[in-house]
Amino acid sequence: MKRIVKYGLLTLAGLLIGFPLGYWHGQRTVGEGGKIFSQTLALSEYETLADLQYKQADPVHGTEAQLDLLNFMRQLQATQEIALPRSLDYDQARVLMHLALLEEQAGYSEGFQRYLHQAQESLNHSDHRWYSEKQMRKFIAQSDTRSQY
Amino acid sequence: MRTWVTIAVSVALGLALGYGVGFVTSSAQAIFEMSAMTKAEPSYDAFTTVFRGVGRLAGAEVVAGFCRKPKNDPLASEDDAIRAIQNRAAAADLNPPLDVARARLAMRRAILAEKNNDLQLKSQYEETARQLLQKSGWEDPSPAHMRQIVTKLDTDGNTCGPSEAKGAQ
Repeated sequence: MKRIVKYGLLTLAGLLIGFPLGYWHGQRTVGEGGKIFSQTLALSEYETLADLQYKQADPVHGTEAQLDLLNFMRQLQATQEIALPRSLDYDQARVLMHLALLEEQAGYSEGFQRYLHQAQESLNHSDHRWYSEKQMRKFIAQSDTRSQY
Repeated sequence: MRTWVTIAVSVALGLALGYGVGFVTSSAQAIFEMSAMTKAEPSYDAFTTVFRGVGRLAGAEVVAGFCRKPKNDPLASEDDAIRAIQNRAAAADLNPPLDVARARLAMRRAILAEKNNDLQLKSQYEETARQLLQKSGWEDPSPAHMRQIVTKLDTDGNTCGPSEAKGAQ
């Protein structure tokens, strides 16, 4: 009887040590995966709707949707730990380039330069490289042709 | 010697059990936390509600794009998610293009009505989509154009092949 209690206590001790280890590992793997999944899903949906507006609607509605998407991304950065920060920088650069092109279309070169600079900064943050205006135009053209809706 | 083996086995058994229970607990918690899986709690702040609502909308859209009809109704989930976003978006200082999401939903319902040979209902949904897109400033708010986009979205999302997507909603 005494032996059973002794081994039972040892098993319980193992269980108490094992639980936090398993919990921690679950958070590091499934938890992190879940965070990536949730953020990617929400961002991709918001981007799809805003990009549809950018491509299909008039410039006023397009600008409104892109500014709102940028606001969503910035609030996300402020409130959550970003699982894929480089990806978010890239996405922000895309939005900023869309805004730059909309400003250019409207004839506001100052606004174009301002958004272009912000887009360059965003890509610089993820790639540690400074892209020229020509490279940024190529980047957004390539990125936009990938989604043709 | 035998005693040491029994001790080691007891501790190892406890460790394995504890590890397993801990892993399953945190995994279940993580899955519950995923925005696409559960509805937003009323206690969430406005931004979190919108974030989770958009995640659920995305999840329902993926399911709606499947060629094989899913058991649950993803279009009802989309409707629900759009309402949840609408209710808290202003409080979060956000204004997502929800009319585009509504138009896409109306188009999916039109495709479904067409499949069920309910042409009157199909026309109603198509008209709803057209009005919403017109309100959203679209240059071509025609149902045919929106239908092309829905097909493209499903093809891009790899949920349905191009030939299947046309009529398999």
